[in-house]
Amino acid sequence: MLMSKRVLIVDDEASIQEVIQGCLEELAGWEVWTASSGLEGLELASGQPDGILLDVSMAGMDGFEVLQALKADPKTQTIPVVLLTARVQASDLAQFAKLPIAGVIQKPFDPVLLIDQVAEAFGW
Amino acid sequence: MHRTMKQQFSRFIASQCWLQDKLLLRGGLGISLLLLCGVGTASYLNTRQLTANRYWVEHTYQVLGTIQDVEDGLQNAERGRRAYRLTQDQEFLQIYRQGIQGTQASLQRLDSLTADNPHQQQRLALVTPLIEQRMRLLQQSIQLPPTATEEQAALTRQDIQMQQEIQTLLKAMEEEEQTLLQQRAQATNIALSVTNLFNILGYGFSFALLTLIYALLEQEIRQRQRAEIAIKQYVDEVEDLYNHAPCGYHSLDAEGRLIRINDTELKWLGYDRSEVIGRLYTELLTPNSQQSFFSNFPKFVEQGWINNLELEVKCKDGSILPVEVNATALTDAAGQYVRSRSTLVDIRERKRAETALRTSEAKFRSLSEAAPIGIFMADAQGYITYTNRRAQEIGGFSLDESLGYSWMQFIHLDDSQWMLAQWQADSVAAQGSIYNDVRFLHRNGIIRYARIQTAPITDASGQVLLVVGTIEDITESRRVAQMKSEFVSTVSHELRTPLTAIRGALGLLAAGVYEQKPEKAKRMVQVAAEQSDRLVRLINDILDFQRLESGKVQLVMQPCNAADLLQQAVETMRPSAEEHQISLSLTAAPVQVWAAPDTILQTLTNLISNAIKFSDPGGVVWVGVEMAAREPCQMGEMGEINSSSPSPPPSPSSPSPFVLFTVQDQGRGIPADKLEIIFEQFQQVDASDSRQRGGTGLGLAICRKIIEQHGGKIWAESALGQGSRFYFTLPIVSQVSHTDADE
Repeated sequence: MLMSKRVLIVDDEASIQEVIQGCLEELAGWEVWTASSGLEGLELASGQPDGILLDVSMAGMDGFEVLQALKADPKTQTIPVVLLTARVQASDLAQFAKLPIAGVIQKPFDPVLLIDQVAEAFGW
Repeated sequence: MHRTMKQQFSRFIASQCWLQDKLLLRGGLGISLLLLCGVGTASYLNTRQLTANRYWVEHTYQVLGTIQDVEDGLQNAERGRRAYRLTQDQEFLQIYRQGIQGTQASLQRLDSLTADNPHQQQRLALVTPLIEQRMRLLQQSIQLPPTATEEQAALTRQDIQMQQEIQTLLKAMEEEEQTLLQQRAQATNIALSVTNLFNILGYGFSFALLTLIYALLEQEIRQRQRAEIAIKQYVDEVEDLYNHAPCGYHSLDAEGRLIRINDTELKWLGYDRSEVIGRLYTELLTPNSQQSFFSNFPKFVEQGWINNLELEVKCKDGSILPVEVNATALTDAAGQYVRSRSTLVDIRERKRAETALRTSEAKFRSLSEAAPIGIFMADAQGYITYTNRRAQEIGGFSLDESLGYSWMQFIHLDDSQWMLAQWQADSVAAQGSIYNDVRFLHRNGIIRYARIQTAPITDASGQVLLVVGTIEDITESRRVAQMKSEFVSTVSHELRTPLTAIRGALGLLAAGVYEQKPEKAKRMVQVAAEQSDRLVRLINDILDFQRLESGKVQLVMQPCNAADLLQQAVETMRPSAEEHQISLSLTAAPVQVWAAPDTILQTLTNLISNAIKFSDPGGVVWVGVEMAAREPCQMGEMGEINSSSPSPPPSPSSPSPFVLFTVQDQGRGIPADKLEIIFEQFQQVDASDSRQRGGTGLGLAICRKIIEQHGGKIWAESALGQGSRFYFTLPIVSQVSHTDADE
């Protein structure tokens, strides 16, 4: 069994936040922190989670900006980030490939398989 | 060339022969004349000789006759003496005396006749004393008396002796004369023979020479006749060539007057020769050509030639004949201009062809210039030689800036390197065909995307002569394609978001995660249901929007009461308003509008729904409809939210009067930079609105489509923190045709 991890979810879509939270807490037993905006996500990231699930399309500060801020901050730059996105086109994926991220999880996803995907991406 | 030399050579030979003939003729004639002169002189001299001979022959005969007279006189004197002696008749004495006198006279004559002959003078000197002595004897005999017979006999014997002596001497004289006569006859004969010989030879040679000369002259005459015929033929041919050549010929004097003109030109002009000879040539020209003539003629006279001068000649029938003139000047020994040698070519066909070419050129140029696609041409090396207007618009360059390789500087830096390489490589090597999308960077910073395609124009051997190409501005189509792509991408994103929640909720439920937590399970079911509703709304809106945008929706228009529509919308939205604790305020004038009521209802409910969503609880949403006839005024950020009588943005397609609908809230307001784009699809003031407010991002875009299809306008005014006011206009019933209205 995986060790208990602290995962930060940054997504402005409440229903998705709710579903992922349920999944990670109930199935993996990880500690889940949730943020509904980029700014809130950066605040919580300073708490040194083990990994961050970051939605790309968010109002205000979007996922890319949050990622940039995380990588710019020495305190948070080592935290692995997995992008959550509904963008699935080839051009989007090519763009993601250049980013300093641990992986990409496409929406929609099977919540049962999500844990494996996240663990795989974070190398847990 | 060869022919000309041959002709010159034969002319030279002919001239040499003629020279020989001439010498021969002159020499022959001279010799003949000399001969004739010689013969004449000889004849004259011979004739003179003969005349002299005749004189001397006659002289000899006179001498002979005189000698005979002397003898006769003596004989008569003898006979008279004898008869007197016998008869004593005095009559015989008379005869005797006559004989004596005759003899004395003849002796004197003989003396004078033979004065030039010493031989005869000597003989005469001998005979004369004898004769005188004999006459004395005869005198003595007469004077003797008849009886003195003896004396008489002695006298008679003496007389006979003397007579013999006299006769001998006279005989010698006669012989001398006979000899002379013979000599003179011989001399005459010789002279005659010589004369004859001279005559025969002289006349013979002369005749022969004259015959030769005649033959030569005959030959000469024949040659001359032949030459004359040849010359006449030549002249005829030249004349014919001059007059009937397929080009006009004329000659102008120093004043520009026509002094010669050929038939061809006359035929072209329709004049008789007498009508134009002596006239100034300018009188036959159109005013434009007169100018040209005046400016060129002095130059021509000075330099002695002019080439390819185009003139327009007025024909007698009034038609205009365009001609091309080439001329050289004929000058005298002093180099002074005498007349022109002008040739004219009828260039009607050429002009027509040029006009046709120009027309064709103009047609194709206008075709090219007016073409809605960029067109260019380049040579085989890729140097641009032509661009049309559209190409210049797309490239952002002028015609000059496009030529050669200049256009390259208008290519976006990111594209220029590969474009130049490919252009040179492909236009030259790969048969001039390239196909590329490049960016042109205009001076004002605008970037146009262009698709360049080329095709080679080759000669028969396949060698590329030219490259023609098209430049298509694909900026707009690219934007549309990008928009479509973005739309699909956005739709995909918008659909995936609720699906993610549904899939997650259902997945968790299915995995039995919440079997022990029914509250959580119930919540997951609720999430799935809410997100399903959202999906349905989204799909409906997408379909609505697509239908409206594709123009496939035929709005069923009819006269409607605007107040009724508004009332209906308010009633529909009232439960929602009450849920959000918002009160709805309605101000409606009974105005007839021309509209498809369902769609207007959809628009109104959408706007009211937005107003409710973005209002805080306890707020008021005002809805109203009124007639508006005022001219549009400048729109801006809504500072006076409660002021009345707003106007639509300036637009000629929104005629007044019109019906104005208003939906006003007291919500958070819309930033000025968002007032326009909120009517675009998936453009919300805040992307999270769709999650929090249940919007799809298509509502206002749909409203705008509906109102635009009604011929109306929709816009918004707002003041941040105070609220927003949405307007739309519709045409009133009277603005549409009564026929339509009646229907």
